[in-house]
Amino acid sequence: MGGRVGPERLTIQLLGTPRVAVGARPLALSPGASLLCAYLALAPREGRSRAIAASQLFDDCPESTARRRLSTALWRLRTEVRALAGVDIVEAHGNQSVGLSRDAALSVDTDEFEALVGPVVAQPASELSKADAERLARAVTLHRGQLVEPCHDAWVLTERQRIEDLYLTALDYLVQYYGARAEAGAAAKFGDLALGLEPLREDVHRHLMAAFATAERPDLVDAQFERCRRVLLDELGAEPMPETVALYARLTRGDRHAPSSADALVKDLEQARREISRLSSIVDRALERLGRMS
Amino acid sequence: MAVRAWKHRFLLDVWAEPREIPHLPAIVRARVRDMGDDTETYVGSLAEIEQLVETRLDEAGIEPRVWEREQ
Repeated sequence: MGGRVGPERLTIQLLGTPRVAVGARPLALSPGASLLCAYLALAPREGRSRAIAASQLFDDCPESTARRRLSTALWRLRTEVRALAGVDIVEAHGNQSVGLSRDAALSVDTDEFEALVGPVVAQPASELSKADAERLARAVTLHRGQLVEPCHDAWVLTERQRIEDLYLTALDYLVQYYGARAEAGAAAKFGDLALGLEPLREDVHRHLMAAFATAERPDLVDAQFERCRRVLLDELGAEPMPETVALYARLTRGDRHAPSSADALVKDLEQARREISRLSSIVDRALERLGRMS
Repeated sequence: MAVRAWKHRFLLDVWAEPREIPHLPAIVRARVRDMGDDTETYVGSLAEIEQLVETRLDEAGIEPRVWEREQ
């Protein structure tokens, strides 16, 4: 355990495994204190009712026991942070509510993440500026894992889902931004991160296919379509959606024009079928000739 | 004596795949995470979700059984 340091700004990391640090130096808090700190960091700035906190954090206990355990956990968190950082991190509002101290200099990674992503994804992906893309890329580096990753308690799930939605949107925007600029490597990097979390998201597969086509990498278009097809088959026993197949067919013949109606989609797919039939006939004839020669 | 789990927990994510063409029906997919063994399964229907829950209850040896509103 590290020694005590001066009252500097505390940084609270909630994305991934929760962690509290002074500058770059992590505080060696016990797992229970780290988790409670994360819980309080996610609470409203004015704090959380003790009764609610006790029931959410210790939902397997009777109310009186839960409240006692909450008091003990708060005391432990306060004591550990005070010993390691010289900061009083817990603020009690009478006997009713509790939160992180409003006087302590604190920064929380989720606040920074949201401030970076929120304003950018409020606009269409097609309108991103270079500065917007840099903000999103910075936010992506903050996302070291899911919100309070080791915890699956109900109190974290709603907020986790909201953050994950923002994260996935940021990644998809970056795929489209770099894709439109023919930067296949950057698009692939952010696309892989998105598909690592949500492998079945066909719109991300489609945006990657379009990005690779713009970068004139038909090999990567093929590979991405196959990856999409394979993961759907393996995980869901399903085929890609018609627009995904139609996009692949269009990109394969060098046409990047998107269909605007179901009729146009049908036309696209019928054209793809004619091309496949024609190719199939050519292959059949080649095989026949080969058979006659051997 | 080992404590027998009495409650089985699942995390269910349900989403509609974004479509390229307006007015086409949304394709709904879901992922069920069984918190008992931390396995994830993708499904394309409510029946598959029901099947996953029933399988878990079978494995827990909860037989015979009946759902509250099916009595």
